Amino acid sequence: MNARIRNMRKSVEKLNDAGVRRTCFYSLAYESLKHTRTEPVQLRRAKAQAYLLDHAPLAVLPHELLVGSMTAYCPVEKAVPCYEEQRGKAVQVIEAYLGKKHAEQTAPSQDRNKIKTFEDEFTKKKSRWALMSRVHHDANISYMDLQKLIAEMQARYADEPGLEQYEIARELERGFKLDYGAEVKREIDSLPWFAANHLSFNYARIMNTGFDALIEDIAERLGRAAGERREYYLAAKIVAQAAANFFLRYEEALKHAAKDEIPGRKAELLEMADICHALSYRPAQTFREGLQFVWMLHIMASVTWGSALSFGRFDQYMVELYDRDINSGRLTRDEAKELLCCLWLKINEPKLRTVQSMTIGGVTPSGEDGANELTALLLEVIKEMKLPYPNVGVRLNKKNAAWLMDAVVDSIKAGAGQPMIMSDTVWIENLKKLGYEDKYANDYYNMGCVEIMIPNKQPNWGVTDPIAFPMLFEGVFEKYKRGVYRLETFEEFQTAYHSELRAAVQADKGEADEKMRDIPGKCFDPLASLLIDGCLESGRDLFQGGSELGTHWSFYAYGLGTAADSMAAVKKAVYEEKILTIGQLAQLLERNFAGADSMRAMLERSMPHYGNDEDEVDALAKDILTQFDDLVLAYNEKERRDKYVSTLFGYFFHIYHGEITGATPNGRRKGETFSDSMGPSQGKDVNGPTRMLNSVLKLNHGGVTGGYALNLKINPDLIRNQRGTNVLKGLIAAYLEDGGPQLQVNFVDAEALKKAKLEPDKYRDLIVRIGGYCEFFVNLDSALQDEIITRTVHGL
Amino acid sequence: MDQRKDDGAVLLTEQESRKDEAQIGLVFAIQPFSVDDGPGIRTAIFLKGCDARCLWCHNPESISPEPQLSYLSHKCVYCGACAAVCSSVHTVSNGRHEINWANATACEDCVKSCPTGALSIIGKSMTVHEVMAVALKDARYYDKTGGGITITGGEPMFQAGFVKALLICAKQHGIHTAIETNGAAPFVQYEELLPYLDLMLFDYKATGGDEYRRLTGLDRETVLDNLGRLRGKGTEIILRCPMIPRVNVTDAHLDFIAELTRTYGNILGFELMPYHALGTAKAKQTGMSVHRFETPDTETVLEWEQHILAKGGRKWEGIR
Repeated sequence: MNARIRNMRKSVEKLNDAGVRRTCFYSLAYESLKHTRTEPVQLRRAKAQAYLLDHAPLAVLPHELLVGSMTAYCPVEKAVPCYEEQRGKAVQVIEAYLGKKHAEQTAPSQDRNKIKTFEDEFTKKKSRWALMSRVHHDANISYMDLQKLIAEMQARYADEPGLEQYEIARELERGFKLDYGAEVKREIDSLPWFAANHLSFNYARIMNTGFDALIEDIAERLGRAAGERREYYLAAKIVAQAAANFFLRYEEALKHAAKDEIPGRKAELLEMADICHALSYRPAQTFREGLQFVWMLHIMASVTWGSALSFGRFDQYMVELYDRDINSGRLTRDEAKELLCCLWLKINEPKLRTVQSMTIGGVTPSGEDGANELTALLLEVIKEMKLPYPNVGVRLNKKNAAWLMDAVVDSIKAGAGQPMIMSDTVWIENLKKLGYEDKYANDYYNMGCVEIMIPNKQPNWGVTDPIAFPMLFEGVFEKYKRGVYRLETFEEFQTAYHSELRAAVQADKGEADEKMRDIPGKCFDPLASLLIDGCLESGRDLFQGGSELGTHWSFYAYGLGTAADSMAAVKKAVYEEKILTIGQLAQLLERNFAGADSMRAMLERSMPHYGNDEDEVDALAKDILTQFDDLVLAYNEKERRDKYVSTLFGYFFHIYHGEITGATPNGRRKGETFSDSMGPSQGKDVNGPTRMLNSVLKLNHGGVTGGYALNLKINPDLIRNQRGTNVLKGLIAAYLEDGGPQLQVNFVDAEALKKAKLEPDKYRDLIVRIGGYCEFFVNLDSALQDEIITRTVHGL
Repeated sequence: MDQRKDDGAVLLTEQESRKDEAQIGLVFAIQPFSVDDGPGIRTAIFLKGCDARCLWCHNPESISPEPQLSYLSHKCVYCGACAAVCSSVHTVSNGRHEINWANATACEDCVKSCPTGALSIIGKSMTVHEVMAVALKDARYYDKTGGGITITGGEPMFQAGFVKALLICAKQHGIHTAIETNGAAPFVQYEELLPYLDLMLFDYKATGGDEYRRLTGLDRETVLDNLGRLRGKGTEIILRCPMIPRVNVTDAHLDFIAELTRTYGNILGFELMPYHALGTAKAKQTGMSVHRFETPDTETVLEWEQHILAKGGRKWEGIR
């Protein structure tokens, strides 16, 4: 890592530590929207996007070689109240909530007829949503202070009847908002603003043709188009011109910044200005220009309020420019690496919203080995940079040469949890089952965290309410008490669970279909529709059927470990060994095991646990997964564009769903965390990584179509040196060969984590894998920190 | 017994093998994902019973050749269920659990009553088939890493017949085999195993005959004699050396480790096993006590290694 990168790293750290940031998005979008109220939605959006691109404040940052930043667009908020004042506000928030809660108990309110915001979505189950600072948008309090306040208020209201600890956290998370003005918010929400998110754009297409050619193409198509299509091309023209102009604005900003610079940096800035100028009209001709082009479009999409934007198959679309420069001697490998390090740091700048992913390796759309020189260089960058973003997934394919696995293991061993591994065998086959041709299936990438999509061609990933496998037991026992289920045998119990699962999947299907109905005529993103294949050709917005491929509607489910353990405990303790009756168990759960310590201990400790290669409980896990996959797969119709997919991934839902769920039969108390994603119950896989993987490999992965997350926790001591490399490589190779879909490796030892929790300032660089994504440990909420510590202690 | 004339013996049915004493062993642990007991990912099979009495023993629960009671205080919820079934061993009151070890047997009554697994019996009779079934669970990883099984203990030669049967069975499944031994068994017993053995982890614990006996209870001459004969047989060996500061670490000892690994072509290298205090906690679980020594720091261990390497010794790096 050279001096530039070291300095840039410090400067990015400083930007992230600068405090609460306000966004210019709302006020700028409003400026445009208030003048276009009588126009069609598509044009209103195009004009507002153009306005954002024309007026967004720009930032040229020290040391960087690639320009484009959200930092001036989201400036540090000066008017953050002091902590004392915020404490007063916190009390008000809680008191107001208590008042509202009492009132609602007498007269519940109805408020459903709108497209739900991100927060609405995440809070449908009354749970929290901001367990990491990167997701915590628009608060007028720093994330650290918020955590402190939550702890204080939880202590203060500990004895308040009818007020749970999670409610306090949730209300405070929602209660500290920056004020953008009621009128502004109303205008934005009434449209409502809907930006493309959770997808990857075809940056390379315009990168390889240039804006002049694009604008000409649009004009030509506009000339021929009629009706609705004409409106699309009008919108496209507006945003394409604004996008080209955005480069020219940065050219000016760079020239301006160059004025007062010392000669060396001045020359760099002027060179960057020249690049921006060129990219405003012509294709990228060098690797450096290509990187600048991709990054600038990424920033533009973020300025228009996109989130979870993926870089897709970066090593595939960038390798041509890379090879050309290297072969012609225009660029050295070290220079390319420096540029990539710059890109890595840019991706970690503040206000790039939620997880930004990138995919490397695998095969080309035609099925040839796709790993290349750039793939190898990227793995070096990942290893040396040790940053949480981009969230890199490497596709491993039997056709990949052996060096790829070596380089991947080398990078993983560096300890930042990157890259995660995806099995081409599983995902390509499963996408084909959904009806995709080879050229699409071969081209898949991981969007956001672990979600499997086809790059450049699909609208937003479609989200429905995540299903917590362990939460379904609540329904089983509740209906048992009402006499709906009799539960006289284990088979009856299992059938009852299946019914609850079916109902949950049906509810998600209903939600997906409702969302589908909301899209026509309402959702448009003209800028994004320049970047998704099919839109320009068809003259339709990506949300209005313009995209080449349809949406993947995701049915998320997770918590298999807790669910399988609960199922096993019921089977053994109630029906086989008859230690207690099902009625007694129902009462114990309702009482949260009060006064039944030894019974709870027995249920937790003496029953089998998923993740130890024990056939009986593993079979119960397999049954749950298979049931779920079958239910989801059955909704698919070959001829329909949109697909329903099963995504076995829990993000951090396992914490906040755990918070609001009562006791479970595996001895888990009310409020405690569920197992994460596809992992075993925390600390219950006591026979080491091989046995844990063996349990996983017994599951049927043939029906998993949306994504999968499995954490492999290894004591770093066990895989030190060459011997460890051999061991780790063997674990991964065996897992993939025998049908494992996805894997990410975590090495942090528990002692380091405990220290990091106490002295966050000393451990700012500590990165942990959470469930499909990485994050700085110190940026996590304390519940999530504790959960990771527990998991790690037991994982050793 | 007739059926053991050839290697087909291991294909005995479960029932038949139960009849054959050599087919049953007393196992106290099977540890998957062992990565420090030979090459690759291995399953370590720990057999009970040991003829050595090393002062620093890190597996004191392995010494007795009989099953024995074990108590883990951190798992205990002080429910008193054990005291109810066996008051002569267990007394539980006010968050305290006292065990009268002198009266403790391996009868299992209290273990069955324990709801949390705090009480258990160390040492379980298992057939070759049962052990192999466990070892085979991780076969997919052996292939990928050059791993296999390592039979250790205790001293596996304490159950030499069982070890042989296990090795034969493992070879039939194409699994790489290793044993870890204190090297003090009669050579004829080792000779019996050699056709089925790929690797030996051979302990070398002290330099000086009196020292060897005082610290381990074993005869150094026998150990060296066996080592010499195994050299003749060309058996691959990793020399495992427990290192206890101020107890067995002397310049002469380091020099001799260097000498052995330098001159014996069949020795792949030495592996230093620095003292750790886990044995004291494990002794407590079984009502025993062992002396606690000083744990060497990483730098000290590196210095020892450097000393041996400087004298021409070869280190085992963990991969072939």
